[in-house]
Amino acid sequence: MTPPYAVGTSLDGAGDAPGAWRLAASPDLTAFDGHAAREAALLAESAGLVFATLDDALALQDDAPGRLRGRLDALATACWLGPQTSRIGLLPTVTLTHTEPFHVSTATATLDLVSEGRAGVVVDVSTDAASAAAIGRRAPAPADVVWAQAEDVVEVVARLWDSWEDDAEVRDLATSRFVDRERLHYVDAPVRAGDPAPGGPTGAFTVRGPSIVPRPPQGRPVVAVRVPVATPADDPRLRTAALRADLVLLTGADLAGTREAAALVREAAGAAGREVRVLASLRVVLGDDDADAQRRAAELDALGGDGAPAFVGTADALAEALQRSATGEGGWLDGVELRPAALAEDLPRVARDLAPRLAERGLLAASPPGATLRDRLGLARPASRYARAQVSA
Amino acid sequence: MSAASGRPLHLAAFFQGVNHTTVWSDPAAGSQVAFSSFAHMARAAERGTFDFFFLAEGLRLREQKGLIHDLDVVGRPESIAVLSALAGVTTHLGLAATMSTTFNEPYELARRFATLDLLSGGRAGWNIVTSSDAFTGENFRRGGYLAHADRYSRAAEFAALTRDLWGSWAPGAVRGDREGGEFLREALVREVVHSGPQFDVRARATLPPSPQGRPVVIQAGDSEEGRDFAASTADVVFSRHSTREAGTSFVADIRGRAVRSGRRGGDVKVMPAVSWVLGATAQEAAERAQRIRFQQVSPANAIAFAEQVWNRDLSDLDPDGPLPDVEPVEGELLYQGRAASRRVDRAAVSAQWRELARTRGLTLRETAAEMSSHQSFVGTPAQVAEEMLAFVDADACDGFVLTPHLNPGGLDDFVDEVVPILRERGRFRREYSSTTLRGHLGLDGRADG
Repeated sequence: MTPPYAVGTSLDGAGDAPGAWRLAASPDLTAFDGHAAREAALLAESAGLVFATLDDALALQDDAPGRLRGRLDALATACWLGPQTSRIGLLPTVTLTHTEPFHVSTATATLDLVSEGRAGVVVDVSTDAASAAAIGRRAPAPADVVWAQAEDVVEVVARLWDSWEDDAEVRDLATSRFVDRERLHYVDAPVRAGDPAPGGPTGAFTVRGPSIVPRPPQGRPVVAVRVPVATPADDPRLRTAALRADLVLLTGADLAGTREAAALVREAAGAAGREVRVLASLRVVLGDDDADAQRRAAELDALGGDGAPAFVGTADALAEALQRSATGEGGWLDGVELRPAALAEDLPRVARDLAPRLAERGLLAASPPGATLRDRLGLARPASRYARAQVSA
Repeated sequence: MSAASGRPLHLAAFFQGVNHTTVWSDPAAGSQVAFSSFAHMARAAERGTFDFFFLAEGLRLREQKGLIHDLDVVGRPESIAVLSALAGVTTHLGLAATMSTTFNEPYELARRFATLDLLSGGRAGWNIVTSSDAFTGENFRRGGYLAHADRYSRAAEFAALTRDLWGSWAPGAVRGDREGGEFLREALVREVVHSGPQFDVRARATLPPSPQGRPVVIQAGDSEEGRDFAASTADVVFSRHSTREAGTSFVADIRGRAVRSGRRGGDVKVMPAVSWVLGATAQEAAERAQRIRFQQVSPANAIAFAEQVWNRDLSDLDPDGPLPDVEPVEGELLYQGRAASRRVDRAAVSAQWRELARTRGLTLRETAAEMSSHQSFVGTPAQVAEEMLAFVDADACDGFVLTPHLNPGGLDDFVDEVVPILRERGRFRREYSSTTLRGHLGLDGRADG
């Protein structure tokens, strides 16, 4: 069965275009109080979008002319948005290279609690010298090394989510027991079968467990990985996506340019017996007509362009293009992360013009009350791996 | 500061878990993890114009005899994540959490607290703890191998580094010049460079100071080193001194140390953690208090308490029978994951238990209930209010951290019945006069001091 098509949006800064903050229409971001992200999240939610992403990195952005710099921690911001929203999924970027896996697991499980089952996480790595120096524990390492480590870290994070079986809290008055400790599990087995040491060959580490946080509402928050379309099949980043992700966000191309990479990702996941949802991550510049959109794109370029590929055109044309590329229509994508070039201008167009057209085409379903992010993505709630092991034993 | 100055008091609410004092067996006991529970208590605290809401930290489930301790509440959400969510549903309440300096990195924790501080408009607080607990370290990639003697030097280095990061964007750094395209003035963002025995960091913060300058710092150490650290670094001290006399001498000691480290005595607010039980009459309150004590100390928990003191397996004992007739044993601990169990003087404490049981004719469970009961204000709302004010007037503290025995509704009766009396006495705010935690604590304008 074709999974439901998933439409989301990025919320970071003033939009995906580096110069967007300079537009007169853009909100004032100098207070770093999260209000712009909240307004955008509420608008995206009212438009019926399925999820919102928040970008992040550990270190301060490099100094480049015209750029927005400085950033709130995305995971904390997503938690802040949790009780202020009610239907939209929240996927902050969390970097795994320097952060303790235990903290990643407990904080993302808590995002799932405070959003009542709408948590996801876009996992990322740090290769930069600035992040490494800010923590001061490890030298910076190249992408293939840190992505191989990330594969193991995501595994440990997910094991900690599973370390409490769903019914571990028993509150049994007869025996005075709050939990059934038989349903709490240590997680420190080797990450991969055949590994000589826990943590695998990528940098041995152990995490004992169990988590301090009971199993979150979704069982496991949704895991997403960004994969540039040019990533080779044997790259550790693509391997991490294929083995560990629920959502793969293809970056660095227009819609048509994601076709081959989508096939590659599905093949890699299929080889591991997994299914992943493959989405395009696409900057969009919308206009009343093509000329209007082109004018806006040129204006944003003049304020500080980065040459990233973008869809530039009308909401009608975007709806058409998304439909053509959707798996339900014989295409190759399970959804799209829209990256509004300027949140203040493009997100209202997404809400007003694009969302109704997507709904008409069956690409944007209304959210049933109380639906989790997994529900809306058509992803089953996974059983704890430890519960399964016990049943078979 | 004069003793009976009639000065206003400060109040905090502690949403606790994992201690036996949290009663989970009561029909009114709700979820310990659902966000609605935290929101309920935070809203009650804000309705009561409390200074702040507080969460402790959990990094490893407690164990007894090699098994996960299952008699008390087990499990809790991650604190900064919960407080960030609460920042979205409260407007004035301070939001504080314990975070370990052993199992976090300064840059990362500084950034998380700075985010909470900005999202809340200047309401964040950090209770600094340091442990040398290898048991907890097993949950961390880096491990937890801090020599006991290094605890305070690590805490001090960590605190200084986070404070440096919080203040590293100079006023005017965020320019937001749309015309010229300069958002951040590079020259006003200072790179923090630190090299010490514990940390080697070179970093530029990603955030400016919050409306309160930087998060409020809380400390609970009670050793000589701990007191010096608190007096020189902390804005708030959680004290363990539960009698008025001990409190008065502790406050005098902390203020003296603060002055010796170049601060004003009043720059450090001393707040002991307390519980309370209300009743329409003093007798009704006392009876309720007794009932709660037995809810807190179930038969199984009574055995567990005795095992913590005796440090040996006592599972064969009858909780409704006499105390163990064997002597406590030293050596490897039966219990892990508890801060205090290492320091217990087993001979002295077991002697206290026996003395109490003998003189009052108590069973093991009754003795455990008495010995494990924490300081409690028990009485009518007016009696509790008067007693609390007497503590403040004796300079035994600046206020209290209230620890309800029930979640999430355990704070409600205090807010509805005691707070109005404190307000009538002119000793507690009727409404917030500040929007920041520093402002509530009367520490305004000192953030850059």
